[in-house]
Amino acid sequence: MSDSTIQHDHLRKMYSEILMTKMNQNDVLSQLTDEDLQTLHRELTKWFGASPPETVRVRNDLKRILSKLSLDNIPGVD
Amino acid sequence: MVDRYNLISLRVHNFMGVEQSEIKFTDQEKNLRKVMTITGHQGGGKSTIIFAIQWCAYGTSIGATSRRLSRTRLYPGKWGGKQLGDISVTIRLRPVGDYGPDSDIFCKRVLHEDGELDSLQVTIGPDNFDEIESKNYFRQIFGKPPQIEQGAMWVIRKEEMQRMAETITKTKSSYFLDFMNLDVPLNVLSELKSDNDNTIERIGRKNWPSVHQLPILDASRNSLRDVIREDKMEEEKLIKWINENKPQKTQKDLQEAKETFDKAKQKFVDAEKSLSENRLRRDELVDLVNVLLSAKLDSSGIPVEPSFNSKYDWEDIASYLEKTRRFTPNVTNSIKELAKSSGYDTSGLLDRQESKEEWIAKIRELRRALNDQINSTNEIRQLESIGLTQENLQEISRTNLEFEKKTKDLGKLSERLSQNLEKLSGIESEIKKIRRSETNESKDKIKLDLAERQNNLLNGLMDSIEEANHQYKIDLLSQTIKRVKYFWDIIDQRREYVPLLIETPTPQFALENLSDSSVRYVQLDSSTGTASGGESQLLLICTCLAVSESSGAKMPIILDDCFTDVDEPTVKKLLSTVSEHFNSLIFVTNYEAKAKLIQNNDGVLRISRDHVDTYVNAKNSENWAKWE
Repeated sequence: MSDSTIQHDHLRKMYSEILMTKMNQNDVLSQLTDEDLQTLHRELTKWFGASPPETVRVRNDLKRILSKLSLDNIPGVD
Repeated sequence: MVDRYNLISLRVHNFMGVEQSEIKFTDQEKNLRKVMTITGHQGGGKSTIIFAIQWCAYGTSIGATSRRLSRTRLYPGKWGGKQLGDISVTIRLRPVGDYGPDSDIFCKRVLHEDGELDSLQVTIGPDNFDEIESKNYFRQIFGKPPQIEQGAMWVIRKEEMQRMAETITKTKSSYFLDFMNLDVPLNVLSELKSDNDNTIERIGRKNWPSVHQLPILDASRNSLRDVIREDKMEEEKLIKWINENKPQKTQKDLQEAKETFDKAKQKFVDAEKSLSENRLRRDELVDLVNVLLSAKLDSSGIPVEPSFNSKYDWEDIASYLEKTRRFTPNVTNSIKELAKSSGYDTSGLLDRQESKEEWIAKIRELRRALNDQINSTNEIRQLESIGLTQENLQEISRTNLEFEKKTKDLGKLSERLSQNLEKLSGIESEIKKIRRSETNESKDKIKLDLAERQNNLLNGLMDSIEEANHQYKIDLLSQTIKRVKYFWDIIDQRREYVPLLIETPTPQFALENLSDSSVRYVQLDSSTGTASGGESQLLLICTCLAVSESSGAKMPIILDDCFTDVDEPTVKKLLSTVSEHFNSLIFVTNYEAKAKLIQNNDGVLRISRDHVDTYVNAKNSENWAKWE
């Protein structure tokens, strides 16, 4: 591991895998379909170790993703 | 995605002993220097350069207590402990890779004379970022400000080494997360959750319409509709009757007709009465004849014979009259006829002069009564001829009264209908309002449900990130420990010890003797630790390098000569390892010999100042820092 880029990618991958595991283990998130869970995870992954993203852009992206997810299995109002 | 930056230049203004200077880290062909040495004599200003870079990255918040890079420590000595101007440092960086000058990032920190806090300004090409965005960029490039227990480990000096030795624990390892830089997404997740919380609270505050009133209103409406329907049917019937029984004459006309009829009738009755009263009796008729005859004779100039003054002598009178030839045979014959009737004497013939006027008046009265009778009879007949009989008038009057009653009934019914329709409209409007509210409520409930679901999802996501952060720190610590051993294996030339993390009672790095497994603790100062000074320094440097790697440091590794006790072969191996591994190194040392230990050096920056008290300014800056 002599190249910093490889090291950074390694860190990103490591964090990404941990996050995916935690998302799968989460009681609520595990109710999402695999596809939705991966979409959500992918959305977060793109910001790992990146230059500071603009808040507005992150907000718009997250809102867009949230609107696409199927929340049928997520607990709502009783 | 930028992973590492090269230093292009450093511009310093009123910082410590430098009034004005710009050091360019590129060569004459403007090529980047990835590995370089900064050397010079004691007090020349090498540390000032490192401090300037460090201050630009973290500001005056860096460190604490004795290590604090406090505000007053930045002031040039001649300021006498008071800030007399703006202090600023600008670092120009270029991302490693296929990037040109257009991609250069200018990170500027200014401490204004009249300002309490530093201000940050990031410029990339023509773009100037605002304070918040600039802060994010600083954070991403340099990592969190190293407040004792945390910080991206890219400036390695004795202070950082000691700090690292003290803080390499599971609980104090948040610097590992600096590289991930998930603050913005996490803030956004939190904001989105807050938005949803606001939605939930706003909807929760609403008063829902009284839906339970709907059945009551529905029943009232249905009942009212029945009433209205019946009333309408009744109204139709009434209208039909009224149209069919519209009176030929109005009540006024009828009244007038009745009055005319009654008047005619009264006239007839009066005439009858008058006629009855003026009817001639038999004895009066004889008297009348006498008067009439007397008057006629008198007007004809015929004297009345005294013999006439007897009873039942009408034939004589008639004969007398015939002789006068003044009377027609009809008259004389009529007079003769009187003789045949009893009671018609002629005794009054001579003395009837005085009753003549009375008879004229009486006759006139009789004639008037007769005329009245005739006229009234004619009038009645005329009225009857157009249907104005007593019976008809009564029937018409009765019908008219009924018509009036029905018309009044219709009026009342229409009024009631109108009121009920208005009432129905009110009820229907209320029902619509409730139903509409019910629809809105339904929509709100959908929104509420969505907000709740999203919040649960966001909570799940934030929890997952938090758990991932925790796990990542643990894993990174474990990996870092392995990497400490890795760097040690490469750099250490003696092969007597291997690094070891002692977890209890206080986590700390130590060295394990390969031959007898004895443990030597890191020596932080002369009074602590059992490892030698050189071994301790090497272990801490390896730790710093491992942490720097794990925390994803993006700046060049700056090694301030902090391994004075390490032997030369090891230093040589250390420098070559860092320069090869990180491909970016700034090595700062007082010693000329050490400066030459780096094999693939891209340049040596010599710092020299003739007199310690002389401030570096625009005029002497070039002489102060020279590339060799």
